[in-house]
Amino acid sequence: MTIGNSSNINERKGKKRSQFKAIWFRFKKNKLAMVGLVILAFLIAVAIAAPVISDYEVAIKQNIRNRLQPPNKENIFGTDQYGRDIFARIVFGARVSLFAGIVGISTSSIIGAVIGSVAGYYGGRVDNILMRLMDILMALPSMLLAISIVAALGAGLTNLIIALSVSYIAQFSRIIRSSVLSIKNQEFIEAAVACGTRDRRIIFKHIIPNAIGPLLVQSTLSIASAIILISSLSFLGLGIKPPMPEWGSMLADARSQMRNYPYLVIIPGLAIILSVMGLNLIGDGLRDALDPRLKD
Amino acid sequence: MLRYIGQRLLIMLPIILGISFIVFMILDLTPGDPARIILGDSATDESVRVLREEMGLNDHAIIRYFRYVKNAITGDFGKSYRSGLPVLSELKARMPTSFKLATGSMIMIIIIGIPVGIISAAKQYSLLDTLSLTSALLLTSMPNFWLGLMLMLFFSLKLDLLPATGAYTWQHFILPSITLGAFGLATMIRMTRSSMLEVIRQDYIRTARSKGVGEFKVITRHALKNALLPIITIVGMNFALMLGGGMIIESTFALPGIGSLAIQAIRTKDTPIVIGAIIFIAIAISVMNLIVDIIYTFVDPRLKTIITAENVVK
Repeated sequence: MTIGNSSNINERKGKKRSQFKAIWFRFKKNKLAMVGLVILAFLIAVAIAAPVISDYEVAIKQNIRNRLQPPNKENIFGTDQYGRDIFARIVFGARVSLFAGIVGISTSSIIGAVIGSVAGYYGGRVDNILMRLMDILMALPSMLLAISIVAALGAGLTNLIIALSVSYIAQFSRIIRSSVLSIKNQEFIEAAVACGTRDRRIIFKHIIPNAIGPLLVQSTLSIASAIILISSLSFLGLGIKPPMPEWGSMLADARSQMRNYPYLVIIPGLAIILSVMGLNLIGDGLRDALDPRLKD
Repeated sequence: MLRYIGQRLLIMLPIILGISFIVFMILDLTPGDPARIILGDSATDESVRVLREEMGLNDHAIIRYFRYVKNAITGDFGKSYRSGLPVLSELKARMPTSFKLATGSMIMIIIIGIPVGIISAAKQYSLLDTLSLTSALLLTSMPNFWLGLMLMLFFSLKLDLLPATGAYTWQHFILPSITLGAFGLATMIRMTRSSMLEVIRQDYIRTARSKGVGEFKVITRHALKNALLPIITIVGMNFALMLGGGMIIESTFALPGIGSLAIQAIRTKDTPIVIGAIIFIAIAISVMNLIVDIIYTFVDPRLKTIITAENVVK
């Protein structure tokens, strides 16, 4: 009995690993997804190594005498209208965007996962109340919701992250709920219930791990859209407070100089595109790897 | 069908109420005293106190919310703190611009997105297919206000072909419409393509081909009709996204629409306008979703029986 049990567990672990391997194998074959992974790895490396690559002082300190220098040897991306080095601002801006995007979306996906799995697992009235609440949140585009939260709380990194996490909860809870509904009636859950496993354990140990695929895909894509949202809010002056370097606020600053110094708006834009594209490619690749049938 | 529409409108009611409640409560956290904003910094504390009493600002937020809803039912959404004009008339004045912008983008999405998606699917893996997919990827990866800045840079500042800001002639709407519709265009191309690819593999398409129907007719008559459902969803979804995204585009191009009104109101802490604009957008989105669902039943009559059947069960 005990032997059979343990070998069973080993078998299961083995299967799990090979499933992960299979997903990785399919992901690896997808060239575009690998490009996305390389881009993301590069950006994360830049964000982490920002103090080594550049100097925060250069990114925020104004130096009027050195203003509006086109790209040159000393300032490879040039300087803005306050004489700040654009390269340094881009590098430190990567920190802000990636950090806010990842933290905001992680918080949102965790809360959404809990709400969605509780709603899906218990069903009935709990499900009804929670999902009607989510319907209300869904009826507001995340941009609108984020804008109203930031409008009330004020600009700043923390408030921006709060706004992001609230704005995306509804999507995540919906996704998890529908996966839970499809998992709930499977035999292994029935078996767990029959063994007298507590609900909390069933939700966290059995249901959420099996519903994690779609959640992962959605999280990756949401971080991408969150980066756009962050830059949009900062562009409107509602996101990151100056002088903290952020790509969107760099664009807002550069707007008035656009005619004569186009590089001021082109460079931050390219930084945003690069990071968003990397995440989108990974997200699409993950979706295809998790469910090969879905591929066009 | 009419009963279904009625039911859907009834479901909309609590959602709109919920949205107004959430937005009202969130914006209630906005720092700053409205009475002080209305009267300006030079007003005496005494007059601010009197105005607070008059506006009922000393009541609890819940009470104020119910008063707001009660007034809103009669069409009174309060007055702007800044201009003193009723919120509803401010919104009405801005509506045509936002509507023109959204319509312009919609038209662009449909007349470019659907044909490109169809050609991409019909000539899968061709150069054109790769090209359209790459541009779709690029378009979904850029913030639309940045695309707007780039278009402005090239078409207005460098080439001097189109006006950059303002809303005086139809030319003023070209760049903003392209900008606002860019994301939707990308999703439209992708969706049309994948939806068409799925249909093209079906047996009845092979049948049509084997009985000698021309390729053009196969694609436009036999395939497109059946691929239309997901395409309509995208149209509806984009309309919702555009109303939200319009805030930024309208501000970027200085178009006097509802979105730029809302952003301006947020900056000046003009809360009644902000709440009014957001509720207005939410209502527009809900109505759009309903319209999409109704169009569904025309495109796919099978859904009609499902919808009516559901009604009976309910």
